[in-house]
Amino acid sequence: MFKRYRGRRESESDAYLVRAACRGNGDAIGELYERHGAMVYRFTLRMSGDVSMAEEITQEVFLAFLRQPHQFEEERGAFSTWLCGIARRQLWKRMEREESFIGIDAFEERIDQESSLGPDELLNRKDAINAVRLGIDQLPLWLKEVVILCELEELTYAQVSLILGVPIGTVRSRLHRAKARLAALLRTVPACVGEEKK
Amino acid sequence: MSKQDDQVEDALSAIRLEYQRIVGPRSIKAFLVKETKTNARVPGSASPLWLRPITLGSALLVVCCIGSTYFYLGHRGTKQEPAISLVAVPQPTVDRASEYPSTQSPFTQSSDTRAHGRRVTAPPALSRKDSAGEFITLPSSEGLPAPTVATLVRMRIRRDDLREFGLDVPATAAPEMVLAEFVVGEDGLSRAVRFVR
Repeated sequence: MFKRYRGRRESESDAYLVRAACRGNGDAIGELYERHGAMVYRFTLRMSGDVSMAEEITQEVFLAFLRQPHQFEEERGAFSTWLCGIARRQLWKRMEREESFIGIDAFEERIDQESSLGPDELLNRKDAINAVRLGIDQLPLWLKEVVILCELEELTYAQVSLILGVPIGTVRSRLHRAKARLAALLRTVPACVGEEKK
Repeated sequence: MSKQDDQVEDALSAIRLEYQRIVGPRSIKAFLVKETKTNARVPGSASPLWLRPITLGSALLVVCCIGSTYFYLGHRGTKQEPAISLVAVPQPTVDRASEYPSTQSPFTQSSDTRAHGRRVTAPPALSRKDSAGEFITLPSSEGLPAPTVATLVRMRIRRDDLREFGLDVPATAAPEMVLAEFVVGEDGLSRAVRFVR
């Protein structure tokens, strides 16, 4: 209940700042960046793994808002969702241009390489975290973005479906597949398997 | 839920904590604030969508008003009758004595009076006085009906030719050329004359 109330107040406040920013209020755009810039930056950074690209896209997203503020419709979703959607589109465009996609084959290859570790190696929590982190990086983009938005950003399925432009069911199934892959990655690591047997 | 699933959830929680500590670069904020203040008028924000049709309609209305005013004034201008002036219209000077018979002036035969003279209503033309002097009723026009439309014809004529119109001309002045204005009726017959000094 409290969360819902807080969310509504924040949304109203965003709308006010958006209108002020449209009128050329520099402080308003600064406040909007304080609230949502980090999310856009984190998302693009985690997706691309490139600091300069993440900075450029974050800046472009806010500039796009300043140039065409009427494209943001309050009724259709939160400002953060809208920003994230633009960031995602720009990111995909760039990655398509630079052909920096990580295909499913590469992911499979990565699993094979992990399995070459020694059987007596113990996988403690830290190693598991590192393995999952690496696993997220190695996921195909269409699964990776779901993990980042749902698990790391903790957005709702509805918000993620708006950002990705897919039904909520698709978001769920993609998240399920991504987690299954990460679990499979841990399962193929010999140390982890050995720990489980003990 | 298997152990690997638990490990994945645990790892994701840990990654989430460090992930959410990442903040956006401050330089971008400074840039955006500066950019917004520099370009205080953001394109599209100053004129909301609902205002655009009103603006367009107003502009069209203004254009229509200006256009109709121009049309009205122009149309009115063509309908206006030109002011009658007997003096200011330049007339071709014709040596009537050498070319035309005295009673049948060629200028009165044409319906277009612009080249040869100006149509005036007879009563004002005949009664009007100008700098050239008074009109003299020609004796030859006695008994003719009053013209409804008259043409003023200016020509250079020998004085002795005026005798044909019943005017008395002294013999000493007979060969002189004078500039005269004849009032010619719609039947082509002269009614009056005056001399331009």
